[in-house]
Amino acid sequence: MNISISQFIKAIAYVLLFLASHTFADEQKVSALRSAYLFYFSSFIEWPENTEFTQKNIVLCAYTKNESDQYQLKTIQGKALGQLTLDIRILNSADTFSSDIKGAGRSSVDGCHLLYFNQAMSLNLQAVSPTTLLISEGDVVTKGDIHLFTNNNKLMFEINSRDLNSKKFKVSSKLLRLSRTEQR
Amino acid sequence: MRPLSDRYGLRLRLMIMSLVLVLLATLAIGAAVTWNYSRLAKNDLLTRVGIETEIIIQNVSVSILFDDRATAQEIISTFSADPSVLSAELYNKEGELFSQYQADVESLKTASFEFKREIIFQEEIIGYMLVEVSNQEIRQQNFAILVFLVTVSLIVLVVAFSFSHPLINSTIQPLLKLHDTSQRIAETGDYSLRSPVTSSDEVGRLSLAFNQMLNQIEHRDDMLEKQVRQRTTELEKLAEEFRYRAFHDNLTGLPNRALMDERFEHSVEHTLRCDNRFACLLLDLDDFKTINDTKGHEFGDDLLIEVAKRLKATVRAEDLVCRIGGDEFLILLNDLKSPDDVNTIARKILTRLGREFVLKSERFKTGVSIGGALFPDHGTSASEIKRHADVAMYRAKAAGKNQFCIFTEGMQDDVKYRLLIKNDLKPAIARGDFEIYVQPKINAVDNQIVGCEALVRWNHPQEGFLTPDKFIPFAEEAGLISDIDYFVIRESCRKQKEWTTLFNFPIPIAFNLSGRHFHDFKIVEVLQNAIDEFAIDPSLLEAEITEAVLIEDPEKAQKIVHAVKALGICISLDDFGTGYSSLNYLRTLPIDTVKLDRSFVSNIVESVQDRRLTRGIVSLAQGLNLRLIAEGVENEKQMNALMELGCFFMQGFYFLRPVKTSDFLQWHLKRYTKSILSRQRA
Repeated sequence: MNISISQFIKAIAYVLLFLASHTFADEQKVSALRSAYLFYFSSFIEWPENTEFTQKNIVLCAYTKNESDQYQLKTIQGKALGQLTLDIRILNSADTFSSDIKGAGRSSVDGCHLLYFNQAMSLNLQAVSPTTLLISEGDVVTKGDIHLFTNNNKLMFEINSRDLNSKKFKVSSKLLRLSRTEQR
Repeated sequence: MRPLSDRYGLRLRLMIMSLVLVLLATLAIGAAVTWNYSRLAKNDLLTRVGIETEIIIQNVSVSILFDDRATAQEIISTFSADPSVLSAELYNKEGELFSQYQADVESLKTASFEFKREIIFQEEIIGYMLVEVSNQEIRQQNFAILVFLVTVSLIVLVVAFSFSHPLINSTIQPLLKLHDTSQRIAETGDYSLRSPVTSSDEVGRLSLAFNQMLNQIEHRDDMLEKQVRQRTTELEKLAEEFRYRAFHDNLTGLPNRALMDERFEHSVEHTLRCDNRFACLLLDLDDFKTINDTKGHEFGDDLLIEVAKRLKATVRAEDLVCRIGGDEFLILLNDLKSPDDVNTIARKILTRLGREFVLKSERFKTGVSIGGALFPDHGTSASEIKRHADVAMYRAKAAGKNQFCIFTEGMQDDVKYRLLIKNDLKPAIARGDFEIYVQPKINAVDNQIVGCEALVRWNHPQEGFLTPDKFIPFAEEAGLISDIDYFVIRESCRKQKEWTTLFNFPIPIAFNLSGRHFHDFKIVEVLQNAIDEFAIDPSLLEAEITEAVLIEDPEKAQKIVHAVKALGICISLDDFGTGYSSLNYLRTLPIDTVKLDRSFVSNIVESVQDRRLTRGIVSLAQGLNLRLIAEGVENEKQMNALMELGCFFMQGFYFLRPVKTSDFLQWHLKRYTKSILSRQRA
């Protein structure tokens, strides 16, 4: 069997391309799942009574540099949640810093009803409004009210119901049933 | 296969019908109830399982959203609480089986149905659930309902039977009674039975109508019975009358030939037993035919009745007098001691019947010819005795009538002769064995022929030439006299034709016509045909009739005589002065000639009275402008006497006896020649 070098290179290139595309697809799938989870959470959680929904928007703020995440989040922009409309707000690192400045009168996370962040971001949670639902992922210093994690290539979550209760959030039992009880 | 109505009674059929109706109604209601309950149960089941499914979907939708199959499985397994749910399958929006539930009981899968529910989250279908539901619950419920319905149906049937049985009984009982009554009537034929009327409804009215019908039948039966009784009596009377008529003569009431035959045999047996003898007398009234013809049948019947009475009065009670037909009577004289006794009785009969009869205010005399035969002297059987008595009777007639003759062996020849003549007549007519003889009619003044009379003779192969008195009576008995007369007419015409060619002067020819021709117009047709055939002058023909032709139906006979006269034929009244002639006939009939009977001529020389009567007749004829011819002139004295009385035309042996036409012509030519010669001499 005679295989030329160019053919061999082509074959290697195909394999690499296939692996790259496969990796990319997996990444897209996880991002889509994540976006969906974030959207679904808002459906099964009731915000405290004093929460304001300006212009009947429910704002989902996401600290992510991942383009796939950003792309997938954009797909759920404007989706209806009951009488509210989902508003996606992608935050960057500058926003992160500015949010650290307390008392500056205005924070980039102000007005966020849901705030997603992962280990890539460092966030001072003390500065976040108690009416903001914190959703964390990965190996973070401080987990959010809901924490996403991957187990056996499956995206799972856990809910800190005690904190949510203290923050006056009401979580649907259906959601609670799915969550892994957080061990802190 | 017999129809239901034949196999079962009305009561059973009604009962079965009502119970079947109740059963059908119960079944129909049961089916409707079962169907409705089944439908409702299915709806309930669907609603229930639907609600359960909805609840589970609400719970499981989150699991789909968050891809939590374990929780989904946990939630979906809650279907186990409902045994009707056989299986549930949860699919995500890509159609992949997400989780499923399967009931443990396999047997329940035999009857089930499925439904599908979509899982919607935020107006977006995120999956669907297929649920398979068992019908077992519905079936169990249906079964329970069925059991209930069967129980209820049975109860209803029992109740229906309990109610319908007496009801049907009360309804049908009168009908059954009606039926029983009709059956009993059919079996016994007793129409006095009646059906009890127990109600006023239709059945009651039917019973009433049935009873009324029976009344009518009974009444009609009574009527029919009366009618049958009456008819039976009438029939018995009629049968008795028929019996009587079968053995008795209608006219005289005497036993007839049938009874006579029966009694004849009895007499034979009785005589043989007693070793004595009995006589058979056969009686025949003399000239009864003439009496009948001249006086009419009614007169003849009255005479027969009177004769019968006299006969019965003459013989003993134990003797039998029968009328065996026409003017013939037969008398059986039983237990005769000697042969002379029959003579004595016969004489007594002759004496009695010889006395005057008064019939229809008319005094009348007749005679009777009696022939007698004795058993066993003259025969050993009834038929032989009768035959011999008949022979003797004819001998008595031949001997001059009003006589009694007892049979002798020599009389057999007479019988044979009679039979011979009778049997030979018809073939003789066919063969043309008859011949006409003629006798001239003379004008005594100039001794010239004024005509002649044709008289028939029979040229019998064995007996020789027979004069009319030897065969005419038998021809009349045999109904052949008309044929003989037709022969004489045709022969007369033939001779007339011949003579016309021979002589310059005509000789009219006369022929006799029997009274039998004057019942219809056939004789007119025969005469016309003969005249036409021979082309002769009809005035040269003369028909001699007797008064007897006018007796039975004078009006018709007169018309026929006028019709004959209208042909141009002369009419001559024969045998005038005898019988019962009415002068009126001379006025009403178109008569040209009157022939004075030979009885006047035979005694005219000796008898003053006959001469006086002859003179009267001559005067009458002259007064009516009729030609008078005297018959039977046998000698010169008679001729002279007649001429003295004014009768110049004569006929008789004195001039010429009846001879063959050839002899007649010879005789005539001789006389003719003589007269010419004498005239020349003169």
